[in-house]
Amino acid sequence: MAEKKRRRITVRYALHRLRHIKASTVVILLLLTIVAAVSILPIIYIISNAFKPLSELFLYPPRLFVRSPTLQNFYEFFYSTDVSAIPLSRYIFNSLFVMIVTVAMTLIFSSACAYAFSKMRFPGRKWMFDMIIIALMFTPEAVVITRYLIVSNLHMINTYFAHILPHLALPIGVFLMKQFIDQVPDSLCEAAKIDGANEVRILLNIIIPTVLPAVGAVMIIAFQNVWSDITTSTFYMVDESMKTLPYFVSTLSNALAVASVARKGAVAAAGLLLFLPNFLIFAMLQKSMIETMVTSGIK
Amino acid sequence: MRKKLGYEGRQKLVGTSFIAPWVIGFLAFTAFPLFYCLYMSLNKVTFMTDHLQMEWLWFENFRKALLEDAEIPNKLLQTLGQSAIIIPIIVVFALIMALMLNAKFPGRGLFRAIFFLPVVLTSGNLISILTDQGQGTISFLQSDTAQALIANLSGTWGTALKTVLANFLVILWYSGVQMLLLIAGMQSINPSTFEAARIDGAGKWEILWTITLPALMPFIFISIIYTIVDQFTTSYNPVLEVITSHSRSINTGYGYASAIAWLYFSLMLIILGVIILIFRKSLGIIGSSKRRPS
Repeated sequence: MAEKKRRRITVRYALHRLRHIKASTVVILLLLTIVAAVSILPIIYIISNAFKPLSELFLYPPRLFVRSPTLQNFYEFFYSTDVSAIPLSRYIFNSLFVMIVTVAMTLIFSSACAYAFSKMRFPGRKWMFDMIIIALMFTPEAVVITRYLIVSNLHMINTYFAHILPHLALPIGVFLMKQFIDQVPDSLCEAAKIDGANEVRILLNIIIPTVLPAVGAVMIIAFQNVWSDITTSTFYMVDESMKTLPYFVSTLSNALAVASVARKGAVAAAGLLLFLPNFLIFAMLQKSMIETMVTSGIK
Repeated sequence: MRKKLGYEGRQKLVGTSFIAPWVIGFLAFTAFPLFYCLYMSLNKVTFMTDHLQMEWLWFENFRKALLEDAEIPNKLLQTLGQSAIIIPIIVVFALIMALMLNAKFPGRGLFRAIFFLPVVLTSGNLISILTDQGQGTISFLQSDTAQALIANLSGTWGTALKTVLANFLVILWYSGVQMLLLIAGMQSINPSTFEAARIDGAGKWEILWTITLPALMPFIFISIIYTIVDQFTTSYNPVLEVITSHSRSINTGYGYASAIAWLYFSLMLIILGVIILIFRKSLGIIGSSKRRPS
């Protein structure tokens, strides 16, 4: 009885709330739903592409949804490494290793650097930050060869260093972090200092938790930078076993143009596999970021 | 015995050690290549088997790029025009979306999550997979389902919708990070400010213009800078394609490609300078951190 009554009250409360939704909210919801529907389309397309049989992959105009799903593409992809001497797992390991180390180190370096630029006084601070702003405009494509010369002079060809080091100094990372840390009041850091915290602890326990959205943004940018990059594999790695998964996939899709038509299935499957880490990053940040954004109260 | 440094000295030491790893990486892989590239742009660079052969040309490469090669000024102007349109659109779109996502309504978390998805999608591989069927037109727009949706509308409206959708997707894909930054910015505004304004009788519209937007200025500025950088450095940019093709060609060579790269770089710096000038009044944050009275 009591259970039933409680439920009735809840229902009435929900109805009550529904009735009080304003017209503006309805408009917002409607607009957002349309935009959200459009932004989900590419993901549906990638997923259903991976399960399409060849006949559907070559269909024109292409279908959004798969009609007769098959796992053939995945077999195709896993066996495509049979011709090369390197197992697929090696490419996957290289990619994951490089990605994790790079993202972690980029976060550490940029947050420490941004914290110093924002809250500390040291010689050369002003012109160094101006330099970073100028460097924001820097495009890696333009200096491929000069970078190659540096990498080869440091004897880093065919090492993981060549995969990781060029990605670490990310100007946009420091810039974003610094602008957010500027918004953290100095009094917060000073209070911690009076309580006996040193700079490392202030950075880890006060600054980072307050600027989590910036941390997340830098993490995404760093991840995309390194995960989709094939230039380090193309230019700095001679040894096939040191190359990364995106590079291998790009060779598959290049081969597609000249040789085998059947590879198209493998490329579609690879597209889904390459998408998976993106999705994991999303799932991770969605928890730590979108939710905490609400409570990241900088007063 | 540990030597005791003064507060100032300690700050200098800690500050320097905090920025050192980043700055070293920056000098080695960004600053040095950039200036070496400038040096090469003044030379004719030929690749020998074991070294690079340089032939000093002064500004010959730049003169050739600007005056003789019709393609380069054209492409630069084209990029400038495109970015003049797309950058404000992206930032305004991100701002509107952020304002909507910051309002209170049921299912807000879900919507935020969905808009966050394109951010993780915009890595190069995925876009190239999506666009591999035609240049620019996104292949799933030609799919049965999308076609059926569009076909329900009459001819002209259908085409218009298709163009809007195709461009809309690009805008959506490139505005995720900005949306995120702006939402974060909105949440950094003290809620009691809004309350005070409301008590004083300010309407929603007034609050938006007099409180939200001014307080968001630093974040709008960051978003604009990010958008410019993002747009100018995607590898699908026409100028970058020219640079890449020239650096591989035997006739023109790497020196010429470097000259184009520096022209491009200067163009971006000019745009950035203009933006900083515009925002200087409302911010004053470049280079020196703002000391707010507490």
